[in-house]
Amino acid sequence: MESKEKSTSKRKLVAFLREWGLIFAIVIITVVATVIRPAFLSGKNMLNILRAYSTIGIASMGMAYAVIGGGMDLSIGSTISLTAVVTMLIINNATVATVTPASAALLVLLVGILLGALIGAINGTILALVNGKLAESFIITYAMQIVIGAVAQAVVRGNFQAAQYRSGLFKEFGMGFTPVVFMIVVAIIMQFILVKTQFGRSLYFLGSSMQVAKMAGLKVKQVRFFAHLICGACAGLAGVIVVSRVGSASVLQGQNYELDALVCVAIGGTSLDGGSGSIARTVLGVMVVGFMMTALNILGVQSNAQLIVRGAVIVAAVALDVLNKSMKLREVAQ
Amino acid sequence: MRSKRAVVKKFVNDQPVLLLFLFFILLMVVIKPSFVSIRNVKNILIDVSIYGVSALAMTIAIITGAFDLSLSANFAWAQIFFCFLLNAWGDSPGAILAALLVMLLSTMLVGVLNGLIVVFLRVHAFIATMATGIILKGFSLVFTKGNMIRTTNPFIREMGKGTFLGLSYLTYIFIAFVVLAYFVMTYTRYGRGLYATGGNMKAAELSGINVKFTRFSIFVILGFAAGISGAMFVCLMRAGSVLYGTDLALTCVAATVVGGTPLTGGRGSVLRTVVGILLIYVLYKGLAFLGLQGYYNTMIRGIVLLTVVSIDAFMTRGDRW
Amino acid sequence: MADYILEMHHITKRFPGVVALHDVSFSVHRGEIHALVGENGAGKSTLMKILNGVYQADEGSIVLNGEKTIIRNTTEAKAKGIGLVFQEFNLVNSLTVAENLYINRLPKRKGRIDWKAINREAQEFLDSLGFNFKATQKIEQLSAAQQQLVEIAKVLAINTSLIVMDEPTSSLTTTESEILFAIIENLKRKGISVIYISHKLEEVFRLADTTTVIRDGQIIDSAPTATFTRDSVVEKMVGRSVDTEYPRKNCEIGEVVLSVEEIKREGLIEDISFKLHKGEILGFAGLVGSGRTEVAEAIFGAELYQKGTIEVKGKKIAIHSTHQAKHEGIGLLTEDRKETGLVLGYNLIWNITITNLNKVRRRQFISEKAESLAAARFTQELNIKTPSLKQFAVNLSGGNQQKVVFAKWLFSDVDILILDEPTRGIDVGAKYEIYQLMNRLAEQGKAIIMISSELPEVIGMSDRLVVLSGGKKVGELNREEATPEAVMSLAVSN
Repeated sequence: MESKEKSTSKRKLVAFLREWGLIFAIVIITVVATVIRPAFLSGKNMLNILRAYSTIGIASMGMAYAVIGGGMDLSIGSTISLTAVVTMLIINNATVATVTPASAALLVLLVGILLGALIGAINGTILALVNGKLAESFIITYAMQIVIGAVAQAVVRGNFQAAQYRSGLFKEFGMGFTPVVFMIVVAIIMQFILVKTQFGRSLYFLGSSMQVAKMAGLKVKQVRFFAHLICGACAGLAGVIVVSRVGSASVLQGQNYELDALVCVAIGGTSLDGGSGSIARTVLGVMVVGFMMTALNILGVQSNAQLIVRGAVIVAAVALDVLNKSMKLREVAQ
Repeated sequence: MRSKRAVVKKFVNDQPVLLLFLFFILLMVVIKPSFVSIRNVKNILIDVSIYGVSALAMTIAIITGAFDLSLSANFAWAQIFFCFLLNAWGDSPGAILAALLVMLLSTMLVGVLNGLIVVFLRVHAFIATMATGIILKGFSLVFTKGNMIRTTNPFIREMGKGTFLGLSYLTYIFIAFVVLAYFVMTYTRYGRGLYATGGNMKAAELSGINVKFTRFSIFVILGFAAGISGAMFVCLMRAGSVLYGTDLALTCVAATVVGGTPLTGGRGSVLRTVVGILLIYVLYKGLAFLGLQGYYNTMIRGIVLLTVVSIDAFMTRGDRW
Repeated sequence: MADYILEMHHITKRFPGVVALHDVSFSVHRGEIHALVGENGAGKSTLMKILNGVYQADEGSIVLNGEKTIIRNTTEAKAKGIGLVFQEFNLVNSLTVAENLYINRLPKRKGRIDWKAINREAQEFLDSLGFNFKATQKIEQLSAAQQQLVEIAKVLAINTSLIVMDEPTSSLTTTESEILFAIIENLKRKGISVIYISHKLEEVFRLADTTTVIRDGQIIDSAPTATFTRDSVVEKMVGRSVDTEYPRKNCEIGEVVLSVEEIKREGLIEDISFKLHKGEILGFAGLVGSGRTEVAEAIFGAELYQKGTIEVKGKKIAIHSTHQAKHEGIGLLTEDRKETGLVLGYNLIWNITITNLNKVRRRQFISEKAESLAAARFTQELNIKTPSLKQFAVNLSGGNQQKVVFAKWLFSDVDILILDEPTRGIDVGAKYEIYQLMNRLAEQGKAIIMISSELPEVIGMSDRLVVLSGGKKVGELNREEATPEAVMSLAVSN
């Protein structure tokens, strides 16, 4: 009887950490960073963080769809790189220069999203055909990452180009609040789809248990396909905005994006096993990661060392999630 | 009746991936007959020897139902650390041995970390090893500040360049490991335990096999193999860098699949992987030989890898419910 | 005391929300065959799991060979001479018979495993038992029946003084069963005791010296088998008189809604044809592994079939996916609700509405309110006991979980419902409710296929019976013809 009480309180602690750990983390990091550099808490800084992380945010939301569905998409990084360089090429193209800035901007946006969607569609098709779950998603999108990365290099033949676009709608994408607006709009749409549509509900079930989903008469293959298509589209969108904001594009543009996206999703409390989580949580995760990384920058931690932090965070978040789940099930084990 | 459901669709003698590979290689030989030269064969053998040790370990892991994405990072770290230690401790045989041992200890420590996270924290092997790989990569970058580390150690140089009866010393090392791996997998209780764990973890556990220890030990073995591969690489290139070997993990997986060991676990053989890695490096060499450089080479490699794993996933999809 | 090989005294075992065993005392004489009978969920498995070290009893003690012992895990149980042959196989499919037999005690010669010796020894052992497969065959190449025999061989290969067999003949043909009976009787002669768990009362009466009946976690009776009759055993198992066990249905049988011809799934089922009528409950009887679930999967589109035609309401269709089957009005309640019927981590509402989200949409989007209303309606209608609609499925009892799965399919408005072992693992009270529900559905005009391995149940509830054996349909019986003997003799005929 005694051990039961101990395990219940242990379980409550774990559950508490999972639910509120996020807010705690934000608060603590903010406090520490503000102490070191008071400017941290300024409006300007907040805006900067949001702006900088809005593209990661969009990519993370796409990743969230893949993860909730029980999969993963490690090709996001290369997709962003490819979209970025393609965007750059189009913008700099002489023919495009004759068109009005607004049309050029819209064209680029469209091409970027479609290109990302195409890559996502290829991923989705393969995974649907092989009844892929987490393991298959990993390997196949990992291989895709390599392929698309090489494609991006082929497109620019290794060059690094500076943007030469005229000011206009395109430049607006990256300025001021606009990236954030993009992120918020996308977030609202995607959360809505998750909660209010057949597709969204099916995605959850697919991630929990492909067998249950199939036996309930859900269109498993289609759901898997569209989840990855949307994920790719998000990455494509992110790629376009990145170019606009940064002013240049290189084949390394998207490096580590998939990693960051995964960290945001995992920290947000979405289980990497699939079947749970939400876009809202992912947005929170993006905020935490944004704060945390910026704080690390302030503390003088180099970007290489930050990799270590990212990796450690993933392990911690997933371990916590696994622990929480196993405790939940043990309590009612038959 | 129900058991027939469990019968794997792939038969031992019917390996489409293998045949596909052979077909492409044949094609290449036809297009450029000069491809078949002693020099090429030697170079391919050296590559196979270096990376083959890791591929063996990866196959053993896959048979057991585990996975290691940190292999690439561990391999890079091994090179870096080994060069570092060699530079620090000098040229004497004692120093070289010490450097090797310490480096191997460090890569096996990474394996221990992986094992702890996967077996005791119960995080999926994919996610766990991907994460530790990233941590290790970051650590390596910090350690080297992004630079390459070189070594001028004459013994190392000799190991890399030297040959015995026409074959590089490295090849002999590889063959030794192949024999060792085969022996362990086929003739020891531990080895059969690996097959059982990968085939049906619950049955293995109920039969008294210490599944936790078995799975844990796999990661340590992987760490060791990464270290050996790294040391052999240093012998050849006399340098270590974070940039070398970034697709090692995926290449090892591909070698396993091409050889005919399915990713679902419980069956397969390290000998098949030897065939697999041979074919893969013949293909890689062939691509380079045909004049494809840089990104086209990478692209085709990536497509090959993608196709290989997709076919394997497709053929084993029925078992995955 | 040494007369008894095993004594279990006052065993009590509790799980969250349920008392699985209450003050159970159970003893086995040395060298006897002791039958343990009871319905699903009566506590037989739990008791045996305690004996095997998988569970620990909350109260009570175990005495082996006159010595009080504690069995902490399966290894200890094995070491103490207790062997278990389960219904579910614990074999590694990719390895050979010999490897599975010797899995944790591979003998070494000169530091390495001597495969020649192992294979030879294993083959000798198999031959001595009269089994007709080779030690070098891989498990996956054997039939289910042969795999069952391997499980038995596994247990016999180690020194056991007490063997527990749980439904050992469920996948065996008559001939193979006879081999097993001979083996068991041989064991008895050697002084090895056997605990024999089976639903097949003919086997119990043939083999067992003593029979113990367990029901709802308590021992009802334990006495020499000769003192029982078949009816008296069933009565004690069920707790009420046999006849009134199954509620009667009150409706007309209408036109054909489903017509299946010559369905074939390679290596699994062949030449399956039958018709299903509106308002009918069609029973699918047969042994475990006879192919009934495989037929259901084919009709529901969960697995592909190579040959055959399916006609739904007169329309010929080729079914190739579950959502298509659902669209055509076919639903399947799977055998294993925990694995394939419910997402245990989701609440009732989600589990119920997933099959027909169109119904809870307001202006194209899912309405939480409509969902809750629908779930509430079904919860009330089916009498699902739960503190709240938001309760997670994992927290419900087996019976209530099954009702949720039923609710899920009722919500989808399918007209043809296939039920695969609908009352498995459910307590008696809930079972009755489900029988009544089935009747109600038939009376409402739905057509039901009921797959069940419990003979009394499938005979009692069906208007007609289709019997499968070895992947083929071996007979069709109407209500009068369907006696347990008739059904069973068909079921073991292939």
